[in-house]
Amino acid sequence: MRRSRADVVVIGAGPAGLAAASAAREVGARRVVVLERDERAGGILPQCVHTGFGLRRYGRDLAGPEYAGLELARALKSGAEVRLDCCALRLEPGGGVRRPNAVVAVSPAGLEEIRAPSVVLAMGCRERPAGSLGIPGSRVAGVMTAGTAQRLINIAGIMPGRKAVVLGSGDVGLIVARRLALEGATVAGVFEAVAWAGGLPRNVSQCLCDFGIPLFLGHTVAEVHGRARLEGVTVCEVGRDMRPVRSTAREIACDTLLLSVGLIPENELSREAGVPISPATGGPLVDECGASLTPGVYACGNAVYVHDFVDDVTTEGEIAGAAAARFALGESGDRRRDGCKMFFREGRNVRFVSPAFVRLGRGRAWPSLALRSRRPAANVTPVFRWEGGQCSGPDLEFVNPGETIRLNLPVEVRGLIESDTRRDVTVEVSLESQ
Amino acid sequence: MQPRKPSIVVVGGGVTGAAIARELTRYRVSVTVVEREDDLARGASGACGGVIHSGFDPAPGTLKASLNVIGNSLYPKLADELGFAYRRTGTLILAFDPDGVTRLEEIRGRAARNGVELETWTRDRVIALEPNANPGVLQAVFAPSAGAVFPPEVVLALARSAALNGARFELETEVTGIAVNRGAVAGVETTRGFIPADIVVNAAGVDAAAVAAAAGDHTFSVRPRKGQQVILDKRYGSIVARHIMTLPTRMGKGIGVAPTVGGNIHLGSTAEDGVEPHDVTTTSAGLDWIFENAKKLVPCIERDWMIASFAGVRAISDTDDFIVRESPAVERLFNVAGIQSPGLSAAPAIASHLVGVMVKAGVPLEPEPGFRAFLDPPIVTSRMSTSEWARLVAGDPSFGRIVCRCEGVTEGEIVRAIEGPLGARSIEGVKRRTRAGMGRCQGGFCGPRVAAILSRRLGVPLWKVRRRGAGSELGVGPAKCCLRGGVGAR
Repeated sequence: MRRSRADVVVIGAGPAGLAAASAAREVGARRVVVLERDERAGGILPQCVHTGFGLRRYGRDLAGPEYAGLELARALKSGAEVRLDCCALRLEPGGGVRRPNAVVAVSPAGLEEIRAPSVVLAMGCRERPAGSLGIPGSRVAGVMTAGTAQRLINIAGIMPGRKAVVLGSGDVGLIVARRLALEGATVAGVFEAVAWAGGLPRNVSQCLCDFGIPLFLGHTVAEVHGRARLEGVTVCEVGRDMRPVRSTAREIACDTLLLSVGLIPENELSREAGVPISPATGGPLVDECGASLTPGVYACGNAVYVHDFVDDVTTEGEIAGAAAARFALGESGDRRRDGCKMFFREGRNVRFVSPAFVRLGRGRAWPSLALRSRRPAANVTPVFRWEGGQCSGPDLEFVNPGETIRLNLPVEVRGLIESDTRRDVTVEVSLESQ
Repeated sequence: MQPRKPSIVVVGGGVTGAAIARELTRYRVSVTVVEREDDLARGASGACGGVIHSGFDPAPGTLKASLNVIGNSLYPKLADELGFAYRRTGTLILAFDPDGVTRLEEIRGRAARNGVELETWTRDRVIALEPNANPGVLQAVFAPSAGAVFPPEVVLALARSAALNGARFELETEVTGIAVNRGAVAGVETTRGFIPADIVVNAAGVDAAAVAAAAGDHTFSVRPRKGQQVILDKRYGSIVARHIMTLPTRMGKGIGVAPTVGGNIHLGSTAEDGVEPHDVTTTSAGLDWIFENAKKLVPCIERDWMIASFAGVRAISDTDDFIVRESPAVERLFNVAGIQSPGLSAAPAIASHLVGVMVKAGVPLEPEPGFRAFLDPPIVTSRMSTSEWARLVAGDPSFGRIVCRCEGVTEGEIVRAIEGPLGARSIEGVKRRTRAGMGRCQGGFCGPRVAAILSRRLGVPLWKVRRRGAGSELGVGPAKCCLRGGVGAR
């Protein structure tokens, strides 16, 4: 097994990993290695041939492959090594600069171990598969996640079916529904169990409304039929108990069922390495710089929580990469691991808050919080509660579980961060309807 | 001149047919296995939990009881010869009330008569060794000889070994009739033509009665009994260390929570009568029942942990026992029928028992001195040490390219699974041979890559690569086909 050393090892060459690597080099890290298990860089972007990427960050409307190309070019220009077809097998936490972390990886060139003070976890996320839903019926061909269908059409160049039903209204499902329509297939409808769409409003509008694809809220696929290949599905309304109401069943003939029922941060490597994971997001508990609770281990992008926009992934990737580089170079206050922290906890109507914590002390950057609601609600007040106090943020006209909310910390909470408290503080964040 | 070797056709490529084929290649015979599906183990064998039962459960004195116990004892050696994964887990049967404790007593009696060693465990011992077991347990019995295998791996290994020793496998070949000449079998009519045979072994599982009837043998019937099952994510693979089950019922072994050799947990199975012979659909009632009952054994189990669910159909004979005999109606037709659970456990013993039955019936079986018991060990990088794997990659870089990230399967392993003897012809075939696509993402990422490898190696267009058998192609045509007309157009 080959052995080498680096300042920063980044796991995953999607937008988060590439941004982290570029930023790490740009703040002075010497050797930065990005390990990518796929045969191309860019993560899921190369199969996202639609536009809508880069508006926030570059002020340009880019297609996924273009965005990936820009980020890869930047990473390569920065001097980061991007290794394709190279799968990180395990992370062995070391405990700091003196005892660096080790990453073991395999590629067609062989097995290798890279020791580095800093490791950035940027593995992205994966789709919740059909098997986890246990939809009753036969196990037939033609049932796949929306992302798999997207890859088949846009990368492999094959048409998965002629008539599709989409279960779940996540963004990938909406975008692939449009793609199928553009490719000449029929999309009978998008069926969503809850009373609101899972994806961004702009995707509901541009992918479904503009193409005449119906969205059935409060509906689910109760059964799949067929022998070798899917021949049809039974759809039902969903009752209060979230189970199908059989009396509302109707059959739809189709040869393809696409699933867009959730994205899960990919953290098997993190879990096995003992990096603490948030049950709310499924991603590592990180601070505003992406530092996890394991020394020298950083995380960013969809491995932490599922983002709405790649632009935000890039920005957070840069922050984590720069912090990881500073830690490796011994410049970072983060090496003082015993500092007290403010933890954010999910309160009423909050599915998750990120970052999970910030370090207390003067002169720190105040993060903006990213959070998602559990349910849609109008006229909502963000409320922050901690032992002995509470305050509110500015009211929000509307919150939608499909869209990330960004909140600036109220001055009272910032005051707590700057205070000389000698113990950890927990702040519960709620979204309260008036 | 040597006499012509007897030609034997085995109908059915499940664990029974594969074990019999291998056993028969120990003798100077010519063996052909015909299987309707595009791969082996596509029926009940491939859709069961993989527990190698100890044999405490079948009624003493039945063929089922004796072959189960013998089969169980043959597995360690078989695993060694054929290189499949086998782990001794033991079975722990929990009783939660005084009535259950009485029934444990009956089980001990039955086990003693079947010759199966059982230990009695106190509640404290159960809780100490299986801390996730329901603390309401009063007493338990433990059968240490139970084990676990991955059923398709066993069937394919048996079949490869048989093929190595000269057996032929005709896949996608459905039996349409049995030719009988003067009261004895003469051959098998199939969808791919007539195969002459001196002897026919009917190991057609749930269709065994229909195959026998095709020869004019109506001496037994087989009833389908569906079993729905669930696989849990590996992350929860250590919630139990042993196969834990409830007290068996009249309908079957009750529900079990079983660690698999792949590191997952298997829950199952339901026992549903009155189904169609090939009804492998799952139902919401079935899955509800599984979780409700599995939680009685291991309360921490969550429905969210499920990564797959499926069903298999057991073949229940009218006597409820295994049938392994020459047909009373047709000479040289050997019925191996009603092989329900514990069929996987008993299969190696069923095969050797059948040889005895054949010899008694006057079939001339001469030992084949060239029989090779051992298969070359499979290449499984995820089971290798770092240095072994590094050496392998140095020789062939494709063993360093991970295709299935959840299960850690490399391109080299996938290519071998396609190109080896009885190679995979579909994405499912690759999955059963390598575990690629069997992990928590269920092939979401690796499916298209596996399909691309199959497309290259089999020389078929990517969209024509099959998920399973005929009609399960990955797509309907190349991209734009629905716009341009031609292949795939409406």
